[in-house]
Amino acid sequence: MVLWTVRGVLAAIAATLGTVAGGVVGSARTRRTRESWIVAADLERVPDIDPLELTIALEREDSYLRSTERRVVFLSYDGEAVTALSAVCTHLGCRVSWDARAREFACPCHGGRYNLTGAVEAGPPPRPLERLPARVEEGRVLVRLE
Amino acid sequence: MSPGRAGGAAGIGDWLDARTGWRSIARWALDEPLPPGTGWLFTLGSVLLFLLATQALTGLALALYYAPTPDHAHDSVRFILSGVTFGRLVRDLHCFGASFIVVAATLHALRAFFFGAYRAPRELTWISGVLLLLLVLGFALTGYLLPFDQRAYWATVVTLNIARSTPIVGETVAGLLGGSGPPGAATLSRWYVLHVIVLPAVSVALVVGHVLLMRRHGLAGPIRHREGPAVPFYPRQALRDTIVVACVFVALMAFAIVGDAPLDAPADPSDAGYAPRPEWYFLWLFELLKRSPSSMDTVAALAVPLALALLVLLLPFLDRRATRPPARRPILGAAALFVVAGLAVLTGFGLADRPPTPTRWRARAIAGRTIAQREACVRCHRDGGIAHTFDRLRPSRDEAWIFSHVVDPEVIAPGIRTPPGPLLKSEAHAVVAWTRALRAGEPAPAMLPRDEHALSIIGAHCTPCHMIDDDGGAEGPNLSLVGRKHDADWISAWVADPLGVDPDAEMPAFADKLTAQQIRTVAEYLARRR
Repeated sequence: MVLWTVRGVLAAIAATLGTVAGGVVGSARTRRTRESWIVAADLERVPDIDPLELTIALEREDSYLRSTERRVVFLSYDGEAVTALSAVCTHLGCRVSWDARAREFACPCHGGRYNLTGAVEAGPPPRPLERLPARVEEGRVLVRLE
Repeated sequence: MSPGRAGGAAGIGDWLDARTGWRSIARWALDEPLPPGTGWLFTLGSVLLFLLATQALTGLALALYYAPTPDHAHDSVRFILSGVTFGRLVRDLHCFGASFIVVAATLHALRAFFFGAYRAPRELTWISGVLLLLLVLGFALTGYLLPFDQRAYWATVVTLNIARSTPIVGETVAGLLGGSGPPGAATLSRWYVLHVIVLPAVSVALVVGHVLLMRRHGLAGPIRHREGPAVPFYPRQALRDTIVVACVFVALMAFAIVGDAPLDAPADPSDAGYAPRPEWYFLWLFELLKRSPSSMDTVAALAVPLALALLVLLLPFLDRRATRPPARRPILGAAALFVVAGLAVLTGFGLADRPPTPTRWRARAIAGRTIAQREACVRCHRDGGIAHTFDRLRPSRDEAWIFSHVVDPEVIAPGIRTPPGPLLKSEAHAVVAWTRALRAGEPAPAMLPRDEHALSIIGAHCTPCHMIDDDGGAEGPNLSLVGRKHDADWISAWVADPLGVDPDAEMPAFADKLTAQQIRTVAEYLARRR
């Protein structure tokens, strides 16, 4: 009887503390960005040979901080539509850059390579580069970031 | 006479012994019976205890100054390096100590393996040791995010993405590690707590368990059992341990004094001039990730290390025979050699793959440095001025901040009575490029004054549209090898008034923006680039 009481009380205390601590550990509301259309560049600045590399600063809630996240986007224009590609490698998230000599996007980490449209040419990436929604309005390119 | 009345140190010793029994504990530790033939190979345990204690002590010292927040972490580490007595030494000891532990722990485990010391009744000693080895890698992984420099940032991006690729629980695990987005405040605090509270607590428990289990069953001793009475730990083995620990200490100090643990530029996800590479003991995994096709990614990143860890962990239950010499266990011995050789070869490939980092001291950075020497900047940024000198600035300030401060200092530093005149946007970009080179810690290259002067003008006026040495805009032609096409006279005329040379020219004229002398300097420099 005493044994069961001791066990029961201790278990109840452990369960309460565990729930509280677990809630804090599992709290996921640490980060929030708003999805928004951002004016990236004037259309006439987008060259038709190499993609235009842009760094876009995005305001972000990061737990107790309000920080600026710097996202890199590649814009290219084939005369009809603008393509906006994210510079985040789909393999493990490193930052790809445009290799103008090989005419490919190259990832510095594990050797992934993509062509101008973002399709995988070589290396371990499982998917093409992410295409961000983009549109042209009054001669300006708008890109949606989240 | 009662112990408390005895005089001197012996008296205090007696008094304490009567209350704590410390003498019997010391005797228990020093008289540990060792099997005959125990020798130098059995000193690695003490070496590990010593190294772990060193990590705890140096870690405590670093924690006094370190701030685990994205906006202060890098600054606080730089302060440890430059503003704290022995700060650089302590950080080097901590960083190189981590590598020493990885080496010593691996040797310790290999010794136990080849001596067959994991067999009954020592299964749990082995398992606790393997868990400690995994914890050491956990310490390393969480530890090198903390400076929040480029290397830290990218290693963590990759780690979090590997965690995320775990089937079913991936997102949850990444979320618990503070990685629901790119590494930030949540990631840094969680990894800090893991590094300084959770992992140390678990390690202390495991180390105590490991040592007590070792004492309970005694050392397994040399491979071939020798007859004879047990030998006490003190004095012979104690002396051996002390000698080896002293050698390791001297080696560690030498590494820390001669070597320099790297601190890269602050984390910047947009910087393309950085090729991330992990710490040397994770290079084998890095190579594995590079070499496996995408469909095998989860296998390479998770299943292989996990299977390896599980096999090693359960080794005592997979090999239960009583023979100990490795020659009698050919398959197991060969498998172990194969794994060790494989890891070594992959690590070698990883070490060979070090792409050169392109210099940050290009036209814009050089122009930025020249601009910063102007009266407008130095008026405040000088010894005894109202702002810090450039070497004491906080270069981890956001680049957008630096840009707006340079464009209009009064906006960010209000109260300046006579604000300096505004800079051109292209000049402000040049100053930002200069701060980027500064905070990367790369020394400025030596160059001829006339080249430096020309590059300063090019970096401030030409790079918005032209690329030179892979730095600048893409609207105009690349200037890196323009000397192959044109001579200095042609370039001078063109820069001063492009329409005068070609009626269809799109480039604006610079005759009203630059002096004839400046244009000549630029033209002569560019003509030499061939």
